[in-house]
Amino acid sequence: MGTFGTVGEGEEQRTDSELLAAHVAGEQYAFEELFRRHHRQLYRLAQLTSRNPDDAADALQDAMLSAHRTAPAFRHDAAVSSWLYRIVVNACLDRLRRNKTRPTTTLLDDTCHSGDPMPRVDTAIVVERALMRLPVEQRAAVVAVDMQGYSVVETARMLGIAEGTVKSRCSRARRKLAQSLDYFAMEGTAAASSSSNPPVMDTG
Amino acid sequence: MDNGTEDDLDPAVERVRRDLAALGADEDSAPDVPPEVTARVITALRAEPAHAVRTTPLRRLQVIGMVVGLGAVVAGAIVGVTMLGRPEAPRFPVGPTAEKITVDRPAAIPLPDPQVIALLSQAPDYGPLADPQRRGSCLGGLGYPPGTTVLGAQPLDMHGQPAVLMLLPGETPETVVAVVVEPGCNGAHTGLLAKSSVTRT
Repeated sequence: MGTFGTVGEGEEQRTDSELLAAHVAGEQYAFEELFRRHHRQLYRLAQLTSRNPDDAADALQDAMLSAHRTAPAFRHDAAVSSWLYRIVVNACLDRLRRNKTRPTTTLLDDTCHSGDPMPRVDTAIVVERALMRLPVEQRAAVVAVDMQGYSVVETARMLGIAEGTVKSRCSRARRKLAQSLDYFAMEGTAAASSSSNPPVMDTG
Repeated sequence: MDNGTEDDLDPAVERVRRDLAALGADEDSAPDVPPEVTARVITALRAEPAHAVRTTPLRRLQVIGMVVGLGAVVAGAIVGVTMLGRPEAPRFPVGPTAEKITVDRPAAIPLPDPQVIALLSQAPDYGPLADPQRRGSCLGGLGYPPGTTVLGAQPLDMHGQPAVLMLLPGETPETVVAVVVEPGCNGAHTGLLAKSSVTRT
């Protein structure tokens, strides 16, 4: 649909669907423009589901090349941006599945918003920083299920793990996030959380 | 040991899930990308051939298409000549007229417009999309930003399969957008079955 693209500040810009159609029709820089339009969110997703920044960059490149090649098969049954997000997350989850035994480098929040010493109340930034503090296994599971809407079955298949493992990783990730974001106290459920699970903070 | 049931009931955990779903579609808050990462992706994309210049596989397909097309033309010509030569006018079975088969909507919403509009004054019944996170993910997949108000909803059957009808704000105050999606609609796969713009009466 033509209304799913971002709107330019001055000139009228083509929608995401129009850019993708132009790319499929052979326009040389249409897909590049599409990538530039969404590259920040795409890289964010890659970082959230990768062990380290190098893997995130590799997966992002692989994903964009895959999208570039398979664009003619896109059925336009979802927003173009959602399709791109899925390809990136799929590429990252596949990389995690193939490299399960590799050591993890936790992505520190400083690498995401470097040079920003100002305390910010922006929920998105705070949530993202809390996410980055999780082990990649928990982070990838909760990003797939809660952020991208994949089913537990789909996530388990993409990560090459059991469905129960996906559920437990998601559960632990959510509770750790709720703890680090102080949501238990805000929502008045501190008593329930402390009685069932002692607070555990992952520092990296 | 944590389990999903406890998570589902905990307001703090539910808040986390809502925030994660919102973060998944919040491009404005996404941080800058290291220039070298952007540059390497752009370089790789520019090294890829454009779709129109991939002639080798297309040529074969074009030949096949031409053969099929020419065959259809020849068959049509034969039929046409044969029919013109018949003494009596051909009798065709009574079928739908062009007016009847012309549809106003790209895909038919299985409810007449008055019933669709009536949903605006009823409490929405989201059916299998009752979970706010799932519904938000579904709306995100359809291209709607987080927090989009659903004006009405109702489970229904679409060609014998369960589905959910949702009414969303249209481009003008007088219109609403009706979408029918599969029960498992999410950001990765919406399962969009039908979509139409309906004018409020």
